[in-house]
Amino acid sequence: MAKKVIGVVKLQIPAGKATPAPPVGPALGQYQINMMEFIKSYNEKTASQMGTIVPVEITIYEDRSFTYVLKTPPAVELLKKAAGVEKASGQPNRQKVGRVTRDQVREIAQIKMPDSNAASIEAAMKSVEGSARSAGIEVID
Amino acid sequence: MRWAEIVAAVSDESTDLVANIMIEEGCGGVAVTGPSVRASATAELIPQAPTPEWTRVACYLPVDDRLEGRLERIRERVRWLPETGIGVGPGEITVKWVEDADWENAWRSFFKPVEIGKVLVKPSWEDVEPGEGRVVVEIDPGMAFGTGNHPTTQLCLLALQKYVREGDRVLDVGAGSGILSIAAAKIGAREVIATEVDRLAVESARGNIHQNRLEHVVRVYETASPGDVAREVDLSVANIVSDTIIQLAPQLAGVIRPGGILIASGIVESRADEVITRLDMEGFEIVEKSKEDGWVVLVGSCQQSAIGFQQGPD
Repeated sequence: MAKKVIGVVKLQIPAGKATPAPPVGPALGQYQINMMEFIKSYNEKTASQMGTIVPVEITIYEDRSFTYVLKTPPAVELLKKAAGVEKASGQPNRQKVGRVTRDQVREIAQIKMPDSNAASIEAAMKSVEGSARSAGIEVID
Repeated sequence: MRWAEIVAAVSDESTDLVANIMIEEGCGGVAVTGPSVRASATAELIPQAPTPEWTRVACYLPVDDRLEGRLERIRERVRWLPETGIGVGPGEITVKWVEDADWENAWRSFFKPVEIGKVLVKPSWEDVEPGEGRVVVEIDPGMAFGTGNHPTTQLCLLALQKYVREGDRVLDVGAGSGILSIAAAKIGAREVIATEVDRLAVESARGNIHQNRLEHVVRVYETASPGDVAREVDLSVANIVSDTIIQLAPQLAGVIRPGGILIASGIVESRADEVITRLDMEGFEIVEKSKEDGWVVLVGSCQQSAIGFQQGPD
């Protein structure tokens, strides 16, 4: 159907655990869309990824209907999982909190490829390495 | 309950890292808007308001005695990012207070019953008098286009009232919420075949069809090619977009019986001539053209049977 878009919002929220509380409530509430339908559907479709942040991009049309697309988890989220750490470093330059292998970086880059604008897997790996540095996670060979 | 709304204006490349910091410091998630967040490519999009230069990452924390410490850590950790080679852009963080609201239900106030000709579209929670000759279509707005609040939907609803005859077989291409299929059935179609490419919309349409108790009349198919599931229809409505109508025109000419009707909608005014040319090539005679708010609906009469189409002996 022909669609006039009035807004696009990307949420980064825990898989399977969306609720009308912030940030979902205020972010979607301002567009006056049927929030519970989104929440129910999101939780259903992400239930298998519980424990991870699963971003979702919601497009809202002029008649207040909407659609959404699930994205791959952020690289930093995948890095933390791979390194087995709960939190990124608060002082990434001084304090390393964990490490990942280059193969793991490649794996993460592969997962991220569909959502990334990187031209090659090498470029995607560079970007993942950058995220690792900023999270205080070392990359080892 | 009061919330602190924390908004960071940052670069695209640092968005996920800033979001991660906010979540680790206690936010239940973040909302991102701005230049890196765009509508999915499938829709014929009317340009939105200009997007801001920087991405905005927003998160919320309850206003309590932990707030000050959490805010300080978010600020400090965002300041650290450039030292690790990530450009954060302005990295500016603003905080304002918001009151808890009934976010879950506030949206309902937007949806009021809409009367389009004799068709009344209403959400399930609104009671209306059925009234003589009135056709009530119950649609709960959700994850599919078609709530009755858009000119293209309204133009189609008017055209359906004019062209659907009792006992017709109807094809609805790009059914969205199912609103047009439901209306066609209630106006008198004996069979409605609805097609849709978006799985979420298929689910939504099935839900609405169930709510209107029309499962025995309307069937929804998840397919991009209506020609595979429909044939010899008396009328087809396609409220999609110009490109898809142009692309599907030969198929539609093949499934609509000679003398049958095509209602083509979702066409922005500037592309109407292009669509008319194409429909003409496929043997449709344009019998009506109406417009509202920059949107055009075309009604074509199918003049010739397409190749391979055999007319019955009667």
